[in-house]
Amino acid sequence: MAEETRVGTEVSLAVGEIVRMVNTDVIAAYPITPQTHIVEHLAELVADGKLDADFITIESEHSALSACLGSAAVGARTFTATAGQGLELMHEVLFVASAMRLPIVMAVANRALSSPLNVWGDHSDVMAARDAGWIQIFTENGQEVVDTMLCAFRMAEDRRVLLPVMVNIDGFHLSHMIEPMFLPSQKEVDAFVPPNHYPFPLDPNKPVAMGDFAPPIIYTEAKWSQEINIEHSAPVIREIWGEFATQFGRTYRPVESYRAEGAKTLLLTMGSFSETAMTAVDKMRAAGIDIGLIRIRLWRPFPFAEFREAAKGADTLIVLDRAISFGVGGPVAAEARSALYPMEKRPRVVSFVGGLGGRDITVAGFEEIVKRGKEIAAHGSPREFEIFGVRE
Amino acid sequence: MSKNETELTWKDIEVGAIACDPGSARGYKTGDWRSQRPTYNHARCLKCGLCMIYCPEGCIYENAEGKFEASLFHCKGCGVCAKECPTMVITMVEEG
Amino acid sequence: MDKQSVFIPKLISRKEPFAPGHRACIGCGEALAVRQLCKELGDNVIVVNATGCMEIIASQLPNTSWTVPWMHTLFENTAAVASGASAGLRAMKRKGKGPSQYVKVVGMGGDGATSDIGFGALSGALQRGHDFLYICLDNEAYMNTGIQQSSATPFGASTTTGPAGEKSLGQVSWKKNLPAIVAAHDVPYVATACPSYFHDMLSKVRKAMAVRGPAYIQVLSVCPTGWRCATNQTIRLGRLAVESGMFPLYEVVNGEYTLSLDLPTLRPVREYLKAQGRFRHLPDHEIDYIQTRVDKEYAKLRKLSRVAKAPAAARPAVTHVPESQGEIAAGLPALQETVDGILARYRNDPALLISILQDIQAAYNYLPKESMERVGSGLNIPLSQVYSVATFFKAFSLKPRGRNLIHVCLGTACHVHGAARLRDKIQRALNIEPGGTTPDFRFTLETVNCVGACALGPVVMINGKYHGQMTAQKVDALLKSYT
Ligand SMILES: Cc1ncc(C[n+]2csc(CCOP(=O)(O)OP(=O)(O)O)c2C)c(N)n1
Ligand code: SF4
Ligand SMILES: [Mg+2]
Repeated sequence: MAEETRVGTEVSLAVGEIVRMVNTDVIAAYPITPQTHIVEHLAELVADGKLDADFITIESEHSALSACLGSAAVGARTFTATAGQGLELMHEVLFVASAMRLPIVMAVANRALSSPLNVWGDHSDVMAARDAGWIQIFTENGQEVVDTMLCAFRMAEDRRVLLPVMVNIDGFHLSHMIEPMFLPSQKEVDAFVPPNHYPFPLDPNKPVAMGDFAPPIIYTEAKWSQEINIEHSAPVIREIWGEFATQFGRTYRPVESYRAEGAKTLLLTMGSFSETAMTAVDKMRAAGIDIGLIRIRLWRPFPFAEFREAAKGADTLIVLDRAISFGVGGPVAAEARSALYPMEKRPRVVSFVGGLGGRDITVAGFEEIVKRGKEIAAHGSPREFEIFGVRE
Repeated sequence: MSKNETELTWKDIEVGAIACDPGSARGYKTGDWRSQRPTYNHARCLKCGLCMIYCPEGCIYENAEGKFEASLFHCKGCGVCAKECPTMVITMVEEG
Repeated sequence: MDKQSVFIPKLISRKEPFAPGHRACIGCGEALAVRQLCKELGDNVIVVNATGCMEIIASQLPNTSWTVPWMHTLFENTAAVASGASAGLRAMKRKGKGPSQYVKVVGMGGDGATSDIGFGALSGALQRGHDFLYICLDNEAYMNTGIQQSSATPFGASTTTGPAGEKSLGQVSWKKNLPAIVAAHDVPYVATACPSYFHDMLSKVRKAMAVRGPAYIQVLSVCPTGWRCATNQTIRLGRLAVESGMFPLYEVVNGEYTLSLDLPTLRPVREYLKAQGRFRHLPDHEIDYIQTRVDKEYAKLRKLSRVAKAPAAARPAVTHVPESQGEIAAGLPALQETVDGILARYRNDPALLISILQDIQAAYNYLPKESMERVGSGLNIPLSQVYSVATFFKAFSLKPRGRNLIHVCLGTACHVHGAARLRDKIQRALNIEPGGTTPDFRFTLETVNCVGACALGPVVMINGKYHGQMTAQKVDALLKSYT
């Protein structure tokens, strides 16, 4: 731990630094706001000879992730980054990366989706990709981004996992923040992230065929093996976070709770809003309001046990989603509801959508959400979910 | 992989559903598709090998005499060899 | 079209890297193309395949026809996946990781995958200059999904999404000229090929494999299912496509066009069209239109092409042709260098002896004795083994040969069309026997049994170039055009 250096830098650049320190072999990326600072920084590192990688200036995001498939399949350590429309253009490829078990690490500077066009942050992009079979982690602050990036390569390439990992970084709100962060030393990185040894690379010395055609007689078996695999990745993810804690002293869990002990009302957030939400919780607690916060960090595979453990004992769970599943509501709320359903005594889930397309939610905003959430819990709402902050 | 697809369980699926046995499709009998079969009058064979190179299946081999013949395990009976043989060694006959 | 020989099929690898047991339709020309291509691609490749017939038919879980590393991901991204694989190999090599030998990444996609949905990915990969070979398997429609129209579907063809009907001819626009578009990316090597002309196709593969950068080959692949023809017509239709000018064979090497098969006269397109159900509805005036357009396109291509002006350009491998015996003796040090270069190209691998001898033969028009000694010591094999291969194949000559090598085909088809008379005529004109060389080293005369171009018979091949439908009357003029 002693070897870490404290730097003040933009979070996007710190992402690039980790990609450099793990000695990535191939980066294939296509520019899109607010991901650009990550890939520009990497291009610069390659141009300056500080990172010995092939940076493919590819012609689309679909191709960017496709190139990553090829690169990861030959055994090269592979990184890409995207946002919003770019992630949607990758959509088809996402499923292939996970099903083929290719350990690609991707940073997503989460962004709203067109139309109307909006380049600012929300979770519409990743929520549309949640079923793609990737390990998906949400980050809250710069330090968490740095640490998660480092762990992401370990997780992706672990022989027991071999899955692509998506690190979600709220666009602008987090990606463009300049924050103080501890960056590990090269020695520490080398000790923590061993070289990538993909067990079945495309190699003429030991030919394999990847991406066969599977008729109904065998497709179910293939999909089930994929499901079991991502489920089995959860303990390995925890193990890697545990090792990280030992080496670096910072602890990460699939679900975090903040002042949730004994609280009858809980707020649930994901991503960078959690920082504001914590401040709001502090303020409300000081005012004698019964409230705590839980935050899902590991979104896929969904941490059912940890989540239930964190939510148990509460009467109300107020979920703030930064995306709409149109005609349904907040996707996180829907999943929270279904995760809680088997519990004998479960909190009632109240669903809010807010913070769309980069609109901020302040401390006061969270106080308002909690207030309205408690009302709904007590008296109900005419709607399945409510939207926060819309002008009527 | 020795099991066929109907016997495979999900535990038999390799990482990423890869196929690790190169060329294992050989075990699949495409000969059953055939409605006509090549027959040979090898006396006229020039041993040129054209039938072998033009066979879409790759199932024609050189026999001990250096003449060419299709393996009926894979031959689908397209008739290309019969059509292309310069000396008309091959005649296609209906499968009985 | 260098390195023609007797019984060329016998010179081609017997290994089947694309194993039988695949589920392609009966008589599938695309599976045939892949099978033949794989013989020349060799072991040190990674094949990246687009969704389409060739993916579906060859690898059904848990099996595969492929014996080289192979990857299929999606329909439209093959060139991008190939870019990533190529970049990955390159980066790893720099860092001392990955396979130790040189590995070529080969993308393969159908015409739909290549000229439509994957067009952007291909253009990007070509422009970036990755080291990869892209092979477009052109069967002129989306066959895997049931014969739908693509931009490579030829004018007048009926498909399931562009069907002929009362008010439609089927495809009403001209086939996209993808090779020209690829060539416009300024890539080192572009070619068209067809399995009916397998020796031409494989020599193109060999050239493309030698490129360090992007190379592209578009292979016309007859699809009996989609073209609606009998399953035994696969080779014949490929020939007709080429000989009618519907699908000319050519190369674009560093921007220079060369016709691989410069036909004196094109066959009428009618012959080609009438043999296929997909064109059966075409009225005469549309066939006339196609004829006019094909003639025009072919004339354009001929004009672009250098071959008519300089026949030797078709044989870039010929580095030295002796003027006299004295010169042969004097050229020995150069010979050693050339042979060593060829050996190095094949990594001194004795398994590649035939290829090595072919290259030497291409360089000298024969196998000088000294070259075989050099090969023996270079490969660390007995000289007798080199000799046994060199004498087994009639393609190799142990005697110096002329600058221009004439092959008169005496195969059955050519024989029936009077090949023997033709041979006699040439013998008289040059005053040499078959196997002989004129004293001025201008010509060597040889006879062969079938060059696989029976439809053109009788065929005389000079320096690998076909002269079809040859007659004794035309011989003098033909010989005069070679100096
Ligand atoms: C994104 C996408 N769109 C459509 C398809 C359906 N599809 C699969 S193969 C194919 C046609 C392939 O045609 P071509 O590339 O010419 O290859 P062929 O089957 O003719 O060899 C189509 C339309 C697909 N797999 N993916
Ligand atoms: S549809 Fe055509 S290309 Fe596809 S497998 Fe059948 S014959 Fe071959
Ligand atoms: Mg096609």
